[in-house]
Amino acid sequence: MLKEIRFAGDLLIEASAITPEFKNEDVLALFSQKSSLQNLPVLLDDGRPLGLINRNLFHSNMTKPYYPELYSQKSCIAFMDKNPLIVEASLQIEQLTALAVETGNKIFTDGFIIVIDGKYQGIGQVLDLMHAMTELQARQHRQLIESIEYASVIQQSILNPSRMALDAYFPDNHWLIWAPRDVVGGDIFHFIPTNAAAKDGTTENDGFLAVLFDCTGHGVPGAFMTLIAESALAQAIATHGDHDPAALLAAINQYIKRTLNQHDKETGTRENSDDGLDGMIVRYDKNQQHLIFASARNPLFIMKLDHDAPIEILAGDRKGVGYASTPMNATWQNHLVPIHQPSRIFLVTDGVIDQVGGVKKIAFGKRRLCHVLADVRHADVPTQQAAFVKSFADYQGQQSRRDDVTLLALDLIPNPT
Amino acid sequence: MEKFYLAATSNTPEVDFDFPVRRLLLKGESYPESAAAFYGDILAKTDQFIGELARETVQVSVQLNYFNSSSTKMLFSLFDRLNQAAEEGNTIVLDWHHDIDDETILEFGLELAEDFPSIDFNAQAIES
Repeated sequence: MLKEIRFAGDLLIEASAITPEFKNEDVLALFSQKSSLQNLPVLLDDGRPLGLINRNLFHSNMTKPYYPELYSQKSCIAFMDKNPLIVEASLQIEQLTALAVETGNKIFTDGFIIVIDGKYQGIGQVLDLMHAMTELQARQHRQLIESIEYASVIQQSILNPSRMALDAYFPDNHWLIWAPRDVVGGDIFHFIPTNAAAKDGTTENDGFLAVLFDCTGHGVPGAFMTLIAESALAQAIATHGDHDPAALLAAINQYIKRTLNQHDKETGTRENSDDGLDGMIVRYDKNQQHLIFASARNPLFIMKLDHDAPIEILAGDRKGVGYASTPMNATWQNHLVPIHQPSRIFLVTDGVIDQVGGVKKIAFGKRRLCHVLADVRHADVPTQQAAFVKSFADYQGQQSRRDDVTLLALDLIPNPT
Repeated sequence: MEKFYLAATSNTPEVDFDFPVRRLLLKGESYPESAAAFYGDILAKTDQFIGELARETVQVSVQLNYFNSSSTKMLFSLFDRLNQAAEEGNTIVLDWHHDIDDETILEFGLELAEDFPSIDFNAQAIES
């Protein structure tokens, strides 16, 4: 492995130098003797660099008419660049690069002089500097990616219990797309089966609670927010149980505002967060044959499975959860939706609906999403999922992904009454 | 008050706030890494501008085909200010451009119109 290059001194090439006592005819001789010699640094007696003689510039001067006659016996400083780039060996290569760029074109032919405490040590070449910068950037990029990939392991492990619960509860009638834009992201889901007391005193399953949150931002800040949201949800469920989505959203709102100190007016000029989440909580009760849905700015799609009715879109409340503009005592509405027939519900983040693409470079949109989902209404799970993935990817085309994308599809089969 | 201009980038819109002629334009896409940082200046200038208005007409043109949720919040802040200016006796005309097939952008515009009733809202369907 190559030595890690971090300082100007790491690029040092030893090169002999001359003093102002040298005459131009001496310089001519030196350049003639050694055809690879491109530059000659000129030093004062105390070792401080005075300037740099560039081979090509020197020759172009010395071939002018009468110049050899006039200058051969003169001091070599006549054709010397008096302002070469001189840097201390301890200078970091990022700063060296900035100085090299400021120096302009001549840096490519002349390179730079490296000193320690002002005393000449040798020279450096721009090509070596470019190699070092490229390597440094690749290393920094690698560290960043490794760090985010590790963060992704943490984020995924938070989602794993819900994935397992989904697989157990819906062995062959659910599908999930969870695709953060940048390895980690601001979308999370949560799924837990719920229980009710049975007549014999034991408990038995009566449905589930499904949660989808789209936290502010994406990437690393989004992922930070998902951790707060996940804790908020856990605490809200511990306090309010798993049967009241609106109560859970209200509790999560308070938790986020407290955690991010959004309620604290005493922090003065310090920058406080204005972050929060959009999202929805769906409680399905298979015995009562209904679902209860509370949502912050996030629509729920409901599709009947026994006939070809259009997909119903239930709008969420317009208030976001958390966020400085949402009051501490904000409340959300529970919407009760009877589910007497087999139905499929879709929990979708705006990353799906707002994705720019198509010929017109406009949003994917709810209408297009409904078409895609309805087309595969009676197909099996892999076919449904593949149809969505293909349609979304085709629509996105060459456009970049704008946001994190999550879609959770769940089939609801009510218990007979 | 001087004109305020920012050229569009891949994730921020063109901002052409021509305060002297009372004309404000936002055009392109908005998903900066930090919406608060990007819109901070824009909101501050708009506040200053509104402070100088004396029962005047301001023409606002929004031609955005994508904005993320944090930009959405910032747009709400912007229109909240303009709505107040309208309540104080100014006329704020908002031309909200959307592609004729882009129901997502139109819906957002209609939400704005509902939330900020003092602004004269015009949905402009663009055929392309």
